[in-house]
Amino acid sequence: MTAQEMAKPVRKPLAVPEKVPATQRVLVVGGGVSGGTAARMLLGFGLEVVLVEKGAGAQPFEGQAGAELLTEARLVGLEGNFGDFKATIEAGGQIVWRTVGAVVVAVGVRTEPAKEVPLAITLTDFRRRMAAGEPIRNVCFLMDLEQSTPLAEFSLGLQFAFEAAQKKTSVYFLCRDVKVAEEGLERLYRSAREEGVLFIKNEARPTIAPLAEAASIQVMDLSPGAGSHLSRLCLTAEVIVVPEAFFPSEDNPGLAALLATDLDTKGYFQPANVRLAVGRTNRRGLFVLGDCRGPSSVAETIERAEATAQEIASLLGEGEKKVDWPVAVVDPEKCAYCLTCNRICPHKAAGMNLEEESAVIYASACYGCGLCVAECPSVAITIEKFSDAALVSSFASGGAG
Amino acid sequence: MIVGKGKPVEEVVAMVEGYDRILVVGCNSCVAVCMAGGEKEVAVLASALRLAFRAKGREVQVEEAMTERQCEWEFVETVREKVERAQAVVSIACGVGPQTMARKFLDKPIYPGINTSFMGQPEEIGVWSEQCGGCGDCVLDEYGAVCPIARCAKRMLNGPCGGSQDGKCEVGNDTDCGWQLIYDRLKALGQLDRLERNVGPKDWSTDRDKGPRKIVREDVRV
Amino acid sequence: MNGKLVAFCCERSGMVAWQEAQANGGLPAELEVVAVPCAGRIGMVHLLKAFEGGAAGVMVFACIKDSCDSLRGNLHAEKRCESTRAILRSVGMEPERLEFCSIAPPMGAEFSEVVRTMMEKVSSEEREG
Repeated sequence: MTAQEMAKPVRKPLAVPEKVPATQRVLVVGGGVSGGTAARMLLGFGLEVVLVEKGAGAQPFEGQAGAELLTEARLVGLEGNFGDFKATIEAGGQIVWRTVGAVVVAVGVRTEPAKEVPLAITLTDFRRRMAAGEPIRNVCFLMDLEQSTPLAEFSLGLQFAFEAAQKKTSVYFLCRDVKVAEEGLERLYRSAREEGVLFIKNEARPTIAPLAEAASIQVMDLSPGAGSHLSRLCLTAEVIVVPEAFFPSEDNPGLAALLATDLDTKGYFQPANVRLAVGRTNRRGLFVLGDCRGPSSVAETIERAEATAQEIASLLGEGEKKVDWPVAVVDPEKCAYCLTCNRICPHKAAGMNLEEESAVIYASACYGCGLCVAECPSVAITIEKFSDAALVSSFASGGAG
Repeated sequence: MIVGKGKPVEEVVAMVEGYDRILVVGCNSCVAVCMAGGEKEVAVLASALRLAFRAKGREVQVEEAMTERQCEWEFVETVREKVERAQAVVSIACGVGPQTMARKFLDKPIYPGINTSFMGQPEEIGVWSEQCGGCGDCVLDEYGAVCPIARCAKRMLNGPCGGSQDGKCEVGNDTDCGWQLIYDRLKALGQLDRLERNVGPKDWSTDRDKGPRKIVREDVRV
Repeated sequence: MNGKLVAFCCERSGMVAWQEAQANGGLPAELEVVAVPCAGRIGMVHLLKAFEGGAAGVMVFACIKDSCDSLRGNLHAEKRCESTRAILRSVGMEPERLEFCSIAPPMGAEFSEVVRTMMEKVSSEEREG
């Protein structure tokens, strides 16, 4: 080759695919309230669903067309991109694979009962007892004990207090202040008061002692209207309810790494970004739902599950997706295979093509943001509409256009 | 790979102050990957030079070029036309590049636009760390594939020294203690007994100590 | 210099704010707007080329922190603006000619304000010569 011939690079034609696959099946990880609701809605939209649940069962799900329930199962691998994810699932000791178009993560939270409160049960236990129909004569809710009870647990407690009062249970509700910073909570508080729930302002740890079939709770009454001098109240309650503490599941870091998505500083699937505040993630086709994003009320969870199912149905369309969004393309001739694009892409759309010995951008995953285009050390990546020439303002390029 | 970083623009401007036609040439190899001498960096430096001279009231012609690997005669030849047009060349390849250019274009001033530092590894985007000391007599086998020459500030063969604290070296800069790394690695391999052996003084004649080095492979020279 | 201003605008925030500002009127004729899918698409070379082309002032409009659709694009853009300002300083140009601006879509008034401030800044520098 002459020097001139060597200087001219060989170019392969660059092309963005016209269509990408959109498998009409969705993987839902977690069979609780949020996962179950999303699964049912997705089936309603005519999509197939594979529900992966780590326990022995999930809310009523099986038996419907297109529904597959894998119990004692967990997700151990996820390859591919939106429309064509390949999930590796360990189910009952066996490894199975499923191809899906989208993934919903609804793995819930871990709860721990509050420590060192004698005779107390958790909100979850109280819900179970109410659901079982056990008659309870009197119950005392203890909120804001060590620290301010988070809104999600507070609203649950308020809800249960109201429901118990409706069943003619005597309800005492001790808290530092009544938190109503969510739609419907102020109304719930007033309804609870009308139903007879006694709200007692309390700022110190009450003295709790066991009685024959109940507990005695001694607390200072700080309510306005308690009188010009402070008095000590002595309450008797069969059941004391202290909200459990919610923690992100210990599986979250491993799952986040497997899914190539991010956790927030507390360990929930909810990084601080307003674009991700509705269950979307950094990756097209990957969604997070329910408590694993942070403890949320049941109403909010169900609303989100419906919205997510709708978004997935519209995203997956009819089986193939026309690529009408900007996509970055790598020129294998120029690519130095340095992996910068792999590392910089926030949407995990850049990978390695081992045969071509070049980086590759997956159209189905690409958002067309151009971060890889800007950072590529070899200037090997382009987005048609936003080329370097397009970005050099017209008078800088000599007045053209 | 070879790792370097761009010189401050003022330094480069001072080097080429008196010229009217300048060529900035980069290299598509190591320096491109470590974001110091690739096509983008050539464009940025060329633009900066034009703006610098315009601010001084001069319109200076600054051309741009790339070589695939600036250490190769044939690749350097591909930019001959542009080099001959220029009065001076700023090369942002690693130190080998401008020197190769100087040996090809004997009467052309060639100036360095980056500072070449070390043989290192990209730990994450934007972070490169020195890994190989180029000593010419590799002893990685003895140290669990962690180099005491490159990763220990004192190049000790029988470390650590008293300046190792909490896994960090006393020189500061959050530098890892190379000997902590060697220890951790040999422990993981179950080869801590290697540390009980006293290694004798290194023969530094294979390093720079004997002067500029050359490797000749007679088996491929016919 | 030709007294022109260049605004690189992220499609999700800057461009929307620009459209609102345009509708309200009052944007100078010297303003040229360059759309990008994300501020992270902008490289130092694009900013420098704008100055080379004679722009008196350059602005980058990116999404506000923690609202970038590509998570970090606005942070990349901010860093590149800082590096470019360092180069402007090195070559004897005023670094204030390059402005990085965090903006949300409905902020048409703020968009106009940033442009107006930059216009004043570069005009006074022109007068001072």
